[in-house]
Amino acid sequence: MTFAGFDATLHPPARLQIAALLARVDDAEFATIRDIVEVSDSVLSKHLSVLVEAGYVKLRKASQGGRQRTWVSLSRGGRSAFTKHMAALQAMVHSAQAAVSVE
Amino acid sequence: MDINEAATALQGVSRTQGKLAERAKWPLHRHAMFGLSEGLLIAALSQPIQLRTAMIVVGLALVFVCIWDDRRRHGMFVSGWQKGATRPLMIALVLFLVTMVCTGLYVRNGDGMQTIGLIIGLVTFTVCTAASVAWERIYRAELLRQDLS
Repeated sequence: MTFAGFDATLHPPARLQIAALLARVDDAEFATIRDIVEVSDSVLSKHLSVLVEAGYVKLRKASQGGRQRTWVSLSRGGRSAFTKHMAALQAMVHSAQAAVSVE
Repeated sequence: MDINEAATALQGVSRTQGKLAERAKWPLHRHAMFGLSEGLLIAALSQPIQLRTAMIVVGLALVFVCIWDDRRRHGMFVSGWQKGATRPLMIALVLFLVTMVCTGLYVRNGDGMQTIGLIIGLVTFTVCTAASVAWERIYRAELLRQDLS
């Protein structure tokens, strides 16, 4: 069975969690995302690269406290893809639960 | 993808939102700073031109300080215009502010306009500070409600 809105780019757990975080803020700093999602710098960088390539997130460099920091935000397309992907996941779980209750 | 994978993915999202809720706590002075910025901008409408200019500059500066301080302190910025449970409160707050702007503009040509303008500003400060505190509670409660872990 296929579910409309399922997005292979957002499917890996870390990427989905990054999108879930960014969906509830305007933007977040690289280190904040790393701490909340609990991944290493290199893993986060790789996932962000994929999301940027897909057009789902935007990166912005800004100086803060004398250091260059990377700020990340979800693009409009990324927000839409995340919403649809979440709906697909929920539909999948609900349909399975419905099937179990019928049995 | 099977049902277990989908359920695990949703739990991961819930956990992330729970962790965000733990961080999404703003001190009282931050709420008051937002209230003060709005109060100053509204009160400025009924003041003489020089004082009005100064109040608007300080009010706008406070808005930028709020954003700068949020980014420095939390490593993220959350504006009031989030989708979800906080939206009705924001709409109510905007309607309140529009009412206060209209009131400020209406009274500015009457006698004792400066004092009345300051009272309107004080009311705006109080309401906006309280609304900001309430907004945080609603935002965090919504994130935690979705945290199923």
